[in-house]
Formats: sequence, C-alpha cells, structure tokens
Amino acid sequence: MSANGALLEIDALCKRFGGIIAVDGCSFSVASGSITGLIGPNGSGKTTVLNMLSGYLASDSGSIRFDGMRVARPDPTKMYRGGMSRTFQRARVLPEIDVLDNLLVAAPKRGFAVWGMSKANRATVDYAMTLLDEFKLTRLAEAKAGELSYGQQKLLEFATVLMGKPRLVLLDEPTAGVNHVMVDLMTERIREFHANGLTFLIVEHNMEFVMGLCDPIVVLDHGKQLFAGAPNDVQQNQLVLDAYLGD
Amino acid sequence: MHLLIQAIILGVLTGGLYALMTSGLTLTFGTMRIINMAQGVFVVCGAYIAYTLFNYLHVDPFLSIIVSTPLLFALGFTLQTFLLKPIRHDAHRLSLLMTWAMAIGVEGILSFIFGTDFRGILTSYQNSSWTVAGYEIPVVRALAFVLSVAILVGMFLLLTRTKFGRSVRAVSQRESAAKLLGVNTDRTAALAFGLGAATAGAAGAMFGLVSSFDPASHYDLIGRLLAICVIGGLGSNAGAIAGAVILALSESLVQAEFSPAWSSVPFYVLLIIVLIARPRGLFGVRTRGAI
Amino acid sequence: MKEQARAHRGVLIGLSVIGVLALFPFSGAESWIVNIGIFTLMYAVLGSAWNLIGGYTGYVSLGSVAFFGLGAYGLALTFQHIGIGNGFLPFALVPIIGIAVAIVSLPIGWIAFRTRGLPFIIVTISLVIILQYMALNLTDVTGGAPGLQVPQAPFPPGTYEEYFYWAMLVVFALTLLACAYVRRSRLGLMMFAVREDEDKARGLGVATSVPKYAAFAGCAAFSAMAGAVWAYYLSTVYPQFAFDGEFLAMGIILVAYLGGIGTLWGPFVGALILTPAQQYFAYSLGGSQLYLIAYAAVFIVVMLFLPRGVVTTIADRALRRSRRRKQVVEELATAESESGRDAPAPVAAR
Repeated sequence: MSANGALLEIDALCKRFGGIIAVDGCSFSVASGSITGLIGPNGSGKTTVLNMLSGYLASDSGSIRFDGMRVARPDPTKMYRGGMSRTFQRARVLPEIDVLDNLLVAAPKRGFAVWGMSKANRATVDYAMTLLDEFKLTRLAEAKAGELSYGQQKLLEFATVLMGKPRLVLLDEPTAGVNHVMVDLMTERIREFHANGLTFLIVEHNMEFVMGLCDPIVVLDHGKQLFAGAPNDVQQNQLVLDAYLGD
Repeated sequence: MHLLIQAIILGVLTGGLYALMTSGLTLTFGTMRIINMAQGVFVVCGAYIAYTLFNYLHVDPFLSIIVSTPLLFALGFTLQTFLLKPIRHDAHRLSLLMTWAMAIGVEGILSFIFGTDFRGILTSYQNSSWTVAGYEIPVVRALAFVLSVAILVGMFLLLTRTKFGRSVRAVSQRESAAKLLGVNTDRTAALAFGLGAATAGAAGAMFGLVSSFDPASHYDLIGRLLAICVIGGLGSNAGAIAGAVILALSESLVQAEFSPAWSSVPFYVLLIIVLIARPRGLFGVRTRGAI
Repeated sequence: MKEQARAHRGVLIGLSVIGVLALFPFSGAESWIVNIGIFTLMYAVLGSAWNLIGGYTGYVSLGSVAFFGLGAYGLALTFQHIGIGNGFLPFALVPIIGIAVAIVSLPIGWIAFRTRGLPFIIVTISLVIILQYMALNLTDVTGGAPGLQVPQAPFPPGTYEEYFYWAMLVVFALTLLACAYVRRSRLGLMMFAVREDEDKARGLGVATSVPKYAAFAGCAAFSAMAGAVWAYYLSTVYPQFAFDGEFLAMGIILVAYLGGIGTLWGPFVGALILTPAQQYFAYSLGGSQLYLIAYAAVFIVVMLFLPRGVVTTIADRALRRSRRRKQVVEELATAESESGRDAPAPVAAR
C-alpha cells in the first residue's frame, strides 16, 4: 500500500486505436479496502482502462502502481499472481470443463506441484466448494460450465477470480444481462468479501447498483476522469449530468 | 550483376503468378476463417483444363482461362455448398480436414482421368523470350505476370466497388455484424469460395505453362501458398502479394547463384525468421488479447 | 471416493484391452493380419499422441509426422553404425529416441508457439515440408530419395511380425498411460484450460507455457517412438513416407476425429475402424488411383455425419442416461426457475 492508502494508482494512462483516442490521460486511484465504482457514458474508456490494468492491452503511455509499486508491463498472469484479478463484460468461463474444475484451475499451484497425480489438494477443493456454496452453485459442481445460464456463468466467473485470494478484484459490468435475484446475490457477496478486506473496482452502467454499493465513484468521460466522489456528490454534479445527458 | 538483375526480373514475373494463386486463400480465410487446403488442387485443375483444351482443341492456354474460370467457380461454389456449409459450426477445425479431403478426392479423379505421368503444356512460344535492354524476358512468364496483375486488379475492383465486394469485406471484418446488416453470409461465403477457386483455375493455366505437373503437384503447391500467407500475414492481400514476390525472388536468386535443388531453402529460412521476429506476418494484424 | 472407483475401473478396462491385444498374435492369425495390427496400433499411437496437443490443448498440429520421421531416421542412423545385436537392441533404444526427439521438439515448439490457431497449423505443415526436403537433399546423411537402410531384424519368418506388433503395443500402452495421466492431473486441467480459452486461463494465473510445451514434447516423443519401431519393421526409411505430410498427417487427425478427439480411447477406436479399411482400399483399388477417392469419401462421410467422433457420441449417450447426469440436468432447470430468467447464455454447450 502506498502512503496515502491507495491500493491502485493510475497516472496519465493513454491508449489510442488508430485515429480513436480511447483513453486520454486518465488518472485516478483506488483506496485499499474500498468498493470503488467506475462509471461513464458509453465509449468513455472504462473497459479499455480495465484491459490495460489487467494486462490484456498495452498502454501507450502513463503509469500503473499496484500496492505502491510501479507495474511496468502488466501481464494477465503476473497481475493475477500479484493479487489482482478481473471478470469480463461478457462472462468468460471454460465451457467444456466442469464447474468445479473451472475453480480448481484458478488455484495457485506452482513449480513441480504441477506434475502431481491430482488436480488439486484437499484444501483447495474444500475452498472451491466453499466458494460454490457462497454463490449457490454447489449442486452444479459437476455440470459443464457451458451449460449454465448466463447469470450462473457470471457468478461462476466471479467465484473463479476469487480462488487466488486476491487483494483487488476488477468487476466489468457484473450486472449486465443478469436478473435481479442474482444481482442481489452478487451485491451480498461483494459486501461480504469487502468486509473481509477485499478491495473492489467495479465498472458499471446500472446506477441503482453502483450508487447503493460503491463509495467513492469515479466518473470517466472521453477517456479521462471527469469527477470522483461520494455517490450523492456524483449524482448532483453538473458535469456528470451533462456528460450523460448532453450527448 | 547482369545475372542478378536477370534473376530479379524472373522472380518478380513469377511472383505475380504466385500472388494470384494465393489471393484465393486470402479471400477464403477472410470470409470463412478457414484454410482452404484445396487451393493447390484448384490450380492443378486449371492446368489440366488448359492442357486438355490445348492438346485436343488447340486452344491457347491463356485463352482457355475463359473456360476454366467459370468451370472452377462452379466447382468451388458447389463444394462449399455441399461440404463446407454443413460444418460451419465447427468450421475452424473440421474445414481443414474437409478441404483436404476435397483436395485428395479431386486428385484421385484427376489421376483416374489423366493418369499419374507428368504433363506439360508445350506451346510454340514456350521457350521464346523478348530481349529488352539486354535482359531476357521470357514471353510466357511476362504474359502470365501481366494477366495475373490484371486479374488481381479486377479482384480489387470487385472487392471495393461492388455490392458483393462490400459483403465480402463486411463478413471478413465482423460476421455477426454483417448478418445483422442483412448480408447473406452463407451466399457470400459460397461466392467467395467459388471466386477463389476461379482465380486458382486461371493461375493454373499459366502454371501449366511454366512447370510440369501431375495430380499430386497440389501438395507441393499448397505448402508454399500457405507459407506465403504466413510470411505476408494471414488474411492480408498486401501480405499475399509481398509474400509471393519474396518467395519467387528468393527461388529465382538461389537458382541463378547456386543450384535449383536448394531454391526453396531461403524461403523457408525466411519463414522461420518471420515467425521468430514478427509472428503475425509482414502485414498481419495483432489479434491476441482480451476480446 | 467416486473418483477412485472410476479410476480403478479405468485401469481395469485399460489392462484388459491391452491384455487382449497382447494375446492376439497367438490366435493363429496370419502374418498379413498381424501386419495390419501393427499399423492399427501405430495409428492408435500417433492419434493418441496427437490428442495431447490437438485434442487436449486445442492446438491442431499437423507436425507429429515430423517427429515420426525424426524417430524413424534416428533409429536408422543409430544402427547404421552400431550393429543390432540379437535383434532386440533397437527396441531398447526406442524410448531413448523418444526422449531425444522430445528434447529436439522444444526449440521447434518455441518457434511454433509464436503463433496460434490457423497460422500454427500452417507452421506445423511447413515443418514437415522442410524436414522432407532436408531428408531428400542431405544425401550424405540421410541417403536421399533411395532411403536409409536399417539392418534387417534376425527374427524367424513365421513370427517375424509378432515382435514388432508387441513393440508397437508397448509404445501404445505407454502413450495411453500418458494420456490417462494427463486427463486426471493438474497438467491436463491446464491443457484443457488453454484449449477452452487461453487468454482467460492466463488471467487466472495458469502458466500456459507449461501445458503447451508438455503436450508438444509428449506428442513428439510418442510419435518418434512409433516412427522408430516402424523404421525397424520396414528396414528401409524413405523420405516421402517418413515425412508424409499428405496421407500420414491427415490420417492421424482423421483417426483422432473419427474416434473422438479429447477422449482417451477415441484414437484407438478410430484406428481400429480406419486402418483395416485403409489397407483394404489400398490393396484392392491401389493401382487405379481410385483409392484416393475412396479415402476422400470416408473423410467426408466422417466429417458430415460423425463430427464428434464415435467414442464421444457413445459417451454422450451413456452420460445422458446416467443417473448423476439426470440430477445435474434437473438441478440446472431448478436453479434457473428459482432465480428467474436471464439473458440467454452466449456460450452454448457443445
């Protein structure tokens, strides 16, 4: 953690695709132990920022600091092992593999332990089953992940990225395409893991969800930060309203 | 020096022909995201059609392209409709085998009809060449180059100026979006496949003039065409042309300086270098990543 | 506990099948049938080896032929200079050749893995072409087109084939063991993850290089061993057959597809069906080139009507009937009705 308690700090991040500037000098920070929201109109660069943070996209310029240390070239595996994991806008699970195995594969296991005779040790399997319980997926442990409904896949993906016991979880539009019962389940789980010390950065469009759960909320527009503050402040800020309603 | 330039001239001329052969692969890859392992056999078919027309009806091979092109188009269109469309759901893997099966099947038919002896198309102007500024320009290769370029330009115009061409480009870029815009993706794929076969057929007539061939020649051919695509960048037309010229140049230069036996070597060495240094190919797009 | 029972049952099935196969030569079968048996087992080995990289890891490779050929030439070159002793020495060297070729495959894999998907397939095709080319032209080393001789094995004519049959059976058993291990282990899980979604797997901390190289090298090792036994059996190694990118490469994949890629017994079943058919076609139609058409027709029929393979289709049906499966299906239905409707799942179950 850096001196000011920020777990994640982004400074002047830039990314352009051909003629389009997706992220234009974006800076913000995520305080340790917070549930930070990241919102903004379509095209404001939210998912691009997430992709750069998690190492799926190389930034053109700017810096990323995780836990006080500069991350020069983020790489998905490195970030995951360093304690940051993420979900995707459209849930990505491993479809032909069992639900339980989807979790087991995400468990940290390094070096020669890879060559053992079993997929995971007892403790890992137990932890995976616990997570499945939390997300009410226990009885589906032996189903193929591809057979689950979309909402269930999102829950599964969420559970999976928790296997590595991360410090920071990036959620990319977790409620998109999901019915309200599952949204409630997700909200509950987020609060619960948060209470146990997990930090969240959540990209979302669902205002009710964000306003009720996140504090602070960072607003992006045209690839850079427009405003950041408590939900009430965000809701009343003129710039934010213009950005959403103006276009 | 003279020899060097001579070799370069020869290389560029032959490169045009290879580029024509490869263009069909690029088209198929773009619209269907599959490797057409039968492209080589389509070229060989064109060669046999030209051979037959020349030997029995004394039609000049270049003219026979008028016949072979629609024939091969029909063949390609039919094969796509009956054999490739049913497997579109898992096209990525199955199409490799399916197009290979097509290739072997056609090879079998050609063997049955023509036997396995090597054939060549021996026109009267086979070995003549024009002399320009002290350099020899073989008539056959020069004509093949000009015609290949003409056909490639025609294809370019087709792809950029016509509705069909727009459909092809739409499907290549994003099939789901194309569907939503009302493009009949199945029809586009069939037409594209047919077109690829047609251009291969045209190239085949010229191929039969510069090289002897038998039904099994497709195997050698497809290996090179695929390697051209990798060097140039799969799916890129500019890449196909660049790769084709590189192949032809390297072969020509080695043949001139050393011996014909080792002519393929520099090309494959280059392939390995490209793979190490720039795996997506000279003109390829980086496709790795999150989405 | 259930995992254990399944494992034990698997071992039992495996041992029984291998046992039956081992006893086959004693059934009084004639030499030419044992000969077909050798090639059947060879395709079973090659198909299973291919499964490691193609079926489990999802990297379709046409390159296992390259390693087959390297194994064949490896054996021939070794015994050019050393005598074959009482005839069993070459067999003893087969596993060593397998390991040697596996090591050689690593740098090749490094180049190949610079690509994925379709370019990867093309790279592996090019590998076979390059090696065939080298074998044809480096005549000092490889003897060129006339081929390389391996001293003929001193086995008695009546039972000559049997020794090679058992040798190939041993290689098959080893390959099967490796595949079975992979399917149960973490390494296998990593391979499947790469197949399903390599980039997602990377994002879950999976060291994707490990399963990729393991699969590639494993495929190389077993393919090479098959090649070594084949070389010894035929006594002459020809470049166009050792590095046969046309038929052998495609035959391997066809065998795997027919049986069911990604399954344990699939390639074996595929080889069992296909190899005798192939030998029959070559024998009866060989001269007229019609066998090419017959071959192509079989390909096409398999692709159109059995795209998932025999074993997969049977396994699916059995699975659907099993009680546990019914429970899971029920569970999927209740979970969905309990929690209400969602957007339809974009990832369709295959």
